[in-house]
Amino acid sequence: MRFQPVMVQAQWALVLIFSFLALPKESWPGLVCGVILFWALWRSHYREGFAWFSSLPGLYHFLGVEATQESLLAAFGAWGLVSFGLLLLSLTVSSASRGARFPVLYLLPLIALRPEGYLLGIVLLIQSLWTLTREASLSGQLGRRWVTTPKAPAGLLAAAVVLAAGASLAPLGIATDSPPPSKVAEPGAHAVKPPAPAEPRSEPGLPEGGNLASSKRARAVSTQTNPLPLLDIFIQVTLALAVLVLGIAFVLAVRARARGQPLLRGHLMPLLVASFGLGMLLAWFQLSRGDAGAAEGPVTALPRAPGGSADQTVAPGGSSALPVLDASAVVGLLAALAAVVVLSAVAWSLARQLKKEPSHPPEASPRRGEGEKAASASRIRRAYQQFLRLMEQRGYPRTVYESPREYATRLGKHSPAVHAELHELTGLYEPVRYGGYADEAQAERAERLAELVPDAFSYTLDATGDQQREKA
Amino acid sequence: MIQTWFHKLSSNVEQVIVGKHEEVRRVVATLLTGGHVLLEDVPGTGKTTLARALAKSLGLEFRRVQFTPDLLPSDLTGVYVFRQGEFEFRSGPLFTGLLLADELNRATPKTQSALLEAMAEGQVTLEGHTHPLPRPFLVIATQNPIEQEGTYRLPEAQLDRFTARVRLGYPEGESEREMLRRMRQASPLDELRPVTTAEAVLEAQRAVRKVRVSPEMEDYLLEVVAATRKAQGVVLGASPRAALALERFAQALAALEGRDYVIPDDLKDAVFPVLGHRLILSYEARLEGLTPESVLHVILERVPVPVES
Repeated sequence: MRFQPVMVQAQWALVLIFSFLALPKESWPGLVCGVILFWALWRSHYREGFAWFSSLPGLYHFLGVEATQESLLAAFGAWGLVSFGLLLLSLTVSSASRGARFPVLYLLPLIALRPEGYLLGIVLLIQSLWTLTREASLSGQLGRRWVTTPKAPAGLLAAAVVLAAGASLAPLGIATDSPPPSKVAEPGAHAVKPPAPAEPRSEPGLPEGGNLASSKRARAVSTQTNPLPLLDIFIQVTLALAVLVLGIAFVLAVRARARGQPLLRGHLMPLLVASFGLGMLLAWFQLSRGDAGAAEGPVTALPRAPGGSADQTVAPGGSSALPVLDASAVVGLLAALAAVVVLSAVAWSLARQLKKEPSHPPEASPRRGEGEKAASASRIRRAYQQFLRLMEQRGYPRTVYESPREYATRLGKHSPAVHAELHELTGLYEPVRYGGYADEAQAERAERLAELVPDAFSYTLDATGDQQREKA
Repeated sequence: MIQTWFHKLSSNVEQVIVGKHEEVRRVVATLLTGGHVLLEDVPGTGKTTLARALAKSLGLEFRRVQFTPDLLPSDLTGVYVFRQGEFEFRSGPLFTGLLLADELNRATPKTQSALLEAMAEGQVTLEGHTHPLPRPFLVIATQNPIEQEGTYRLPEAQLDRFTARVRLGYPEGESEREMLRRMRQASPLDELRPVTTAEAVLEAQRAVRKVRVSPEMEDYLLEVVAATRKAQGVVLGASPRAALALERFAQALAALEGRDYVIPDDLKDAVFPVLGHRLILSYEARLEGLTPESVLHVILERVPVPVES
């Protein structure tokens, strides 16, 4: 019987709620996107892909942003924050799921981000819950009474301490009191785009806020002052197009990966996104460099295009009134546009790759069947590889001359409780490795066993200690 | 399908041969490869009984030839006799389904060669005429490793023609007691009935050839074979014919387990019966106490098995 207690799912939900509480509201959409992304990658057994795609959800911060350096830096900071947090979170959870002993080490850099130091506690909590879940699941499957190991309550205690410390330093409500975008560029501050403040502006026609509402007002006014209104529209359309194409390409890539098809150009996506981002940044900086003269701090250190300063008009309050379309801005825009075009081509290629699959049922299609078989085979081999790695970490490496059956027999002598599971996993692996067979259900079962069996060894060893001595 | 077939066959044979499942499996595997078996053990261990039980269970014609120094090749192959103005071929005992060549090493090399040539070719040529042997054709040759006086040791080239060497050994405690009980009233051999046909054997042989050997398993096999040629103390390693036999034997073992692909364990199981009689050790190695089996053990513990790294 599969042991999936409702309590475990409730605990995971709790972790998610904590995650949302710890991050400012402005980062919630990014977090939601990240969770969906993580879920999709997890379902498609492409966990390593999360490291590549973790920078994508935060891109929404650039939607509707004004062409000012302050807004741009705020959006850039928020993007980096969300990406950084999601990346570390994914690395931690992935390494914990693979049996790493100290996955929490990945989170140490998060201490530098004070309010986001909450993530440290959250992931400590995740790690502890993970341990408890696996222990409970295993004991249920083996029909034993659930006995916790000392690691689990210790991890929970550590998580509680870190969360309490984080709460005392940065209350959960801090996210709602975020500073306006003109101040978020301060180092160490919480550099995210704030919610739309409805405060009136002192100088009509000059965009100040980094939020969507002020941006719309700014665009409305800029039709009177901006000599290049089409440029603004062009930038926004390019941005929207990029996000749309990126989303489509991502969905197609995940689908193709789930079918076991090779992603020949799929790994170009992060590179293209980076090219697009750099191109847009270059264009924005050049178009808004009128701000540079008035702003302080890191903004003043930004490079200027030669000969560009003559055209700028500095408005009261230090904001630029007129964008400047020089060679660098054009190059940046063209680079961004080229990245979008190539990204569209990648998406088109992926769509064609998927469309080649006939629409009739999978069992009637040998080609699709081959793809699924390859995907399942790959999953089973990865699962067995993970099993070998985890067993090695527990002090039971396979010797090079041992066949899978001999290895399973030897392990079965050490832990008779999982003797049947060991041979079942071996029985799933052998047809794939030596016979070229696999199917979806077998892949699911192999992954399950590859996670279950090594835990049984850890459990048995922790519980008795006799076998550790025997091993020594 | 072959697994079920083998289960029926082995159950039938084991009514007579008690506690020798593994040995029966190896002999049947050899039959499925289309090869021949060298049964080597001391007298009275059931070599002849096994051959007879197998022949009866398979529904094959059985003949037994006691090899002696005065046995001539024509005593095996047959002769042409002049009858009613024509030469007529009178086939010898080779023309059977299962031939038991008892104490093969007591015959002269000339007679041994005649038998081994027929085993390899599957046919006999006399007076310019070729006579194909029946199919399936299995030779079970026995050899007594103890009494060497008055024997002609089989040359290496001829040993190589036997696909596998099987040693029966003495029955273990309870098996021997069970054997006594079964044999007390009457020999169960007399009551044995065929459980399969020659056609079914041929079909199983064809199926064995289709058992998949992955490229990784091919590499593993070739590495094992190459290692026998480089092993310390080995004068003569496994031949290319041995490599072919090893692959086919592993395929047969896989088929008997109901698989249509070979796994490393099949190959490891096949190594000892297929290569054990083919390795020739140096005099010094034998003085050191090395045996072909011990050398093969060392080789199997050094050649990496193809598994995920």
